[in-house]
Amino acid sequence: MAFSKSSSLNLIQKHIQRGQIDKAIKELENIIDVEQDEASLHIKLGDLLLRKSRKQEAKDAYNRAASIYLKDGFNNRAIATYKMVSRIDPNNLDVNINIAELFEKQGLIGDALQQYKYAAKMYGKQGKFPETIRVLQKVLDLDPTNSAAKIKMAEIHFKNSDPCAAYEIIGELSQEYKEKKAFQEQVKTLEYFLGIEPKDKYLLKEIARAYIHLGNSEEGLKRIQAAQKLDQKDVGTMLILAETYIVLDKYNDAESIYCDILRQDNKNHRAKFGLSKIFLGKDNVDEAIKELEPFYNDFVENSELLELADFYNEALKKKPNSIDILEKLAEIYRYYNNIDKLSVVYEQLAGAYEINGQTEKADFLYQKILQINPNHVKAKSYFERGNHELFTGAFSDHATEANSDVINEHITEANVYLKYGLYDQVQEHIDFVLNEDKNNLDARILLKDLLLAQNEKKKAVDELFSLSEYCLVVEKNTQLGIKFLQEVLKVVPDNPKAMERLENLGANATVMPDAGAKTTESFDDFKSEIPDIENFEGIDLVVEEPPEIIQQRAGNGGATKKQFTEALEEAEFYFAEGLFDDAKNIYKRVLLDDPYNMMAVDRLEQIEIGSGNVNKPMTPVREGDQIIDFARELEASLPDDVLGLASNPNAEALDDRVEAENIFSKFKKGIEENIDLKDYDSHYNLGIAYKEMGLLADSIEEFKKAFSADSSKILECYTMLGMVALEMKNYADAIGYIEKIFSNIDLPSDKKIGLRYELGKAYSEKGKPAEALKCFNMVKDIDPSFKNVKGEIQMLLNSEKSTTVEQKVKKKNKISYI
Amino acid sequence: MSFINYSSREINCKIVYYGPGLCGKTSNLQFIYNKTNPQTRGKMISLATETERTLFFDFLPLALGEIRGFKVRFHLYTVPGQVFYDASRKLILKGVDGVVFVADSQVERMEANIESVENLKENLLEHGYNLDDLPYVIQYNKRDLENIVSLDEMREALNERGIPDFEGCATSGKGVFETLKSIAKEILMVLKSGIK
Repeated sequence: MAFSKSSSLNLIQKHIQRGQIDKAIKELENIIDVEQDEASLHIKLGDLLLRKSRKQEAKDAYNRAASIYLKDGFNNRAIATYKMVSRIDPNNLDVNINIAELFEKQGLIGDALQQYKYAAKMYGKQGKFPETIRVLQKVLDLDPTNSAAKIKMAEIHFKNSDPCAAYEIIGELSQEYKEKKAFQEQVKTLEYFLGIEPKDKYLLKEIARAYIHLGNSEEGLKRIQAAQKLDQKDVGTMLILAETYIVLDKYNDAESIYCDILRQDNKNHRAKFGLSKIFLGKDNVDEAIKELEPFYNDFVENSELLELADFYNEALKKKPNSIDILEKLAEIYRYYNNIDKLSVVYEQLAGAYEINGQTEKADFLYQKILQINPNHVKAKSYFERGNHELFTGAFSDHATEANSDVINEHITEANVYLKYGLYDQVQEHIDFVLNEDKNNLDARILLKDLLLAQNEKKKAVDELFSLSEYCLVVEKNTQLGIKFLQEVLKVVPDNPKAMERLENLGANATVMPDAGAKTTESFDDFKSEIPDIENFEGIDLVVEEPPEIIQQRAGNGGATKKQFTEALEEAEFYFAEGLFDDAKNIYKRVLLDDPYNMMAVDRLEQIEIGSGNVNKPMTPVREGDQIIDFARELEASLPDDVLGLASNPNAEALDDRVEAENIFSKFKKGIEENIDLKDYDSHYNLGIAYKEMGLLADSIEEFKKAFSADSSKILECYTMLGMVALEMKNYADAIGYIEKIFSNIDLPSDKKIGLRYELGKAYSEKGKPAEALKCFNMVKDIDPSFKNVKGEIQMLLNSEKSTTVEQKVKKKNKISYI
Repeated sequence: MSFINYSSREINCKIVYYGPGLCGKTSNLQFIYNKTNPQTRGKMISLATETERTLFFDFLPLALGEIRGFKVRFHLYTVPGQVFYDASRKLILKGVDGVVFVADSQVERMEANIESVENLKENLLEHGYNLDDLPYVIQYNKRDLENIVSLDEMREALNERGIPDFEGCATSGKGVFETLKSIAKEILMVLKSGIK
C-alpha cells in the first residue's frame, strides 16, 4: 500500500482524540521514517512523547527538530525548539549555551546574555566552577561592564584557591570604580570580598586606598594597619601606610615609615619620593629636591615622571622662578613631548634667565617659543624691547603700532580670562599692561573687576577711589569720576567717603544700572553714554578702534577682542549643547590665535575624553529592562542562590546592590542629560534626595553642582555639604564646609545656632575638644535648650577631666619612677 | 525621618508613593505637578526607561507653608513598581516620613496589590520601620475602569487597619489631592509633636 502522509496524519489526529497516544506516536514515527527532514514532525513527536512522560525521547525528538531548523537556517525556530528541551531538562545547560550562541549570532545580545547568565548560575549551583567561569567570561565578552559577573568570577577564584586570578579581576573592578569615582561602591564591594577572605593583605590594601579616596582616611588607616600586622615588612603596605599618614597630617609617623623602608631597601625611590614630599611640605625645598635627584631614572623607568612633574610644580610654587626646578620641569615635558606645558615652562624659564642676567639662554628660549607659536605675545614683546638684534629691524618701523596692538591683545586676553575665572592669568596680563602704561584705564578697570571677582572688596574700593580721582583730576572727566564713586556704593552701600564726594560733586548717590563689575566690554557701552568721549585719547587707544583697523586685523588673521570673545562664547554654547564637533572647530581656531588659551585647551581635552567614551564598546543595545526581568524572574524561581552563595548572607545584598547601582547609574546619566547644570533647585533637591537614600557621595556632588549654579546660595549648599560630610564621618571636610559659611556670610543668631552646633559636633568627632567646646558654648549662650547642647558640653568637660587626670597620673608615675 | 535644617530653617519630609507596576504612581505625581502653583513646586524629575516605565524614581518637591518658623517642604517620590526592582525600592524608602499605597483596582491586579503591600512591609522592616507606626494612606486607583474589584473587597484585602483611603483616578485627578492632603496632614501631626 502506497504511503499517504495526509491520511496518516488524519489517523494520528483520530488516535489523539481517542486518547490513544501510543498509537499516535507509532503512526508518527512511521511518517518520520519517510519524512526524516521535516522538523515539525519531530516536534509533534516530542509533544506526544512528553504527554506519555517519555522525557528523554521527547528531548531527542526536539533536539532533532532543532538540528533540522539550524541546518535549514531557521535560527529562531531552532531557538524555540531548544527552549522546549530546556523546559524538560533545566539542568541541561548545554541547551542554554546553544540558545545563547544562536542569539549572539543574530545580534540579539540581550537575549544571549540572559541565557549565559542563567547557565552561569546553574553551573555555580552544581559546583562546576570551571564551567561557571567559562560562561561568565562569555557574559563579560558581550558586556564588559557587567560588575556582577566580575564579582562572581572573583569570588569563584577565591573559592578555587586561585587568589591571583581574583586579584586581577578585583583590580580591574577597582579601576572601573575609580574611573567612575564610585569609591563608596568600591568600598562596599571590597568589604564584601573581605567578608570572604578577612585576612587577605591585597584586599586590605585595596580597601585602605578606597577609603582614602572616599575621604575617610581614618578608616583607611585602620585597614592598612591591619594589612601591616599580617606582614610587617611588606614594602607595598608600608608605602600605603606612610601615604595615609601624610593624608592625616601625621608627617612624623610617615617619615618614620619611609625611613624603615629605606633601611630595608635604600634604593626604594617611592620612599625617597615620600620623604621629599614631606620636606617639601615643611618648606624645605632644596632638601626635597636634593633627596630626589639620584632617583630620577627610577621615575623614568616606572613611567612615573608625571608624578614627579607635580612634585616640581609644587616646589615651584614655594620657590618661584627657580631655574633648577624649571629646567627639571622642561626636561620632563620635553620627555613627554608635551608642547603646551613645555611652552609655558619655557616662558617662565626664559623670564628667570632674563632676571638672572643669562640673556643668551633667555634669547634662545624666546626664539624656541616663537618657533612653537610665532604670535606669542611675551616673546615678541621681548624682542621688540630690543633685547635681540635679530628682530629689531622687523619691528622698529611699527614700534608704536605694535605696542598698542600688544596692549590690546593683553587687555583682550585678560577680559576673556576674567570671564572664565582664570585670575592668575588676568593678573599677569594686567601687570604687563600697567608695566607698559601705568595709567592705562582699561587695565585699571580690569584690575578693579578682578579684585571684585576675587571678593577683595576693600582693595576694589581703593582702586575705584583711585580711578575716580584720576578721572576727576587728570582726565577732567567728571561723569566718569562720578560713575566710579557710584560703583563704590554698589560694593559698600553707605560708604561715607563716596557719599560725601558725590554730594560735593552734586551727583546722585544712586548706583547706575550697569556700574558694577565692569569689563572693558561693558565699558564700551558706557562710553557711548558720554558725549565728549572722543576727546579721551587714553581711552580711545584701547576701546575705540576704527572699523577699518578691525577689518584689517581680521584680514591679517588676528582676531579682534570682540571676535575672540564671541568665538569662545559660541564654542561654549556648542559645548554646553553637546555639539562637540562644532565646539571643537572653534576651540581649535581660538588656539591658532592663542595657543595658551586655557579654556580652549581644557575644553578640547574634555571633548577628546568624551569622544573616547563614545568610542568605547557600547553596552549591547538589546540589553534593556527585559533582560533584568528575565534574570530576576529566574532568580526568584530558583530555590537557593545558584552560585552557592547562600551560605554567605551578604551575597544577596550584593546582588541587590549591583542591580541598584546599575539603575542608579542609568538614572544619573538621565539626569545629566536632562537637568541643566544651571538649574540650582533641581540639583539642590536631588542632593537632598540622595542624602536621604544614603547615596552620600552623590549627594555631595549635587550640592556642589547646586552651588556652581547659584553661588549666592552658599548658606544652603555649604550647610548641606557639611551635614553630608558629617554623615560620611568625614569630619575634616565637614569643618571646612561649615567654616566657609562663617567666613563668607555674617549670619543672624537664629541661623548661626544650628551651624555652630554641627560644627561643634564635627570638631568633637575630629578629636578637637577645645574647638568643639567653644562652638557648643556659643550655642548655649544663644539658646541653652538647643538640641543636646548641655549634654555635649558636659560630655566634653568630663572627657577633658579624665584626660587631665590621666595626664596627672602619667606625670606622677614618671616622677616616682625617676 | 524628617530632615531638619536649622540654619535655613527648613524641614524636608519624604512621601513615597508605593504600589505594583503600572498602578498609577507616576500619574499621581504628574497630576499634582500640573495642578500646583509653579511657585510652590520644583521641577518634577521623572525619567523613563525605553518601555516608558519609571527609571529608579520620580521626584517632585513641593513647598507647603510654615510650621513654627520652619519652611516645610514635601518631597514626593514614586518607586519603580516592577517586582525585580526591589533594591531600588528599598533605597527610596530610606528616611521615609509617610507612604501612599496606590492600589490598582483591576481584578487581575489584586494579587499584585497584595504582593506589593507585603513587599512594602518587608522593605520598611529592613530600615527598622513598622508600617503600622508610619503615616500611611491608600488610594484605590483606576476606579473609572470597568473590570474592577468592589471597594469593600479592596478594603478587606488591603486595609485591615481602616486607615484613611480614597477612591481615585489619577489620570483625571480624582482623589489625587485628597490622598496627598491626607498623608501630608498625618505627617504634619507627627512633625508638630516632634518640633520643640
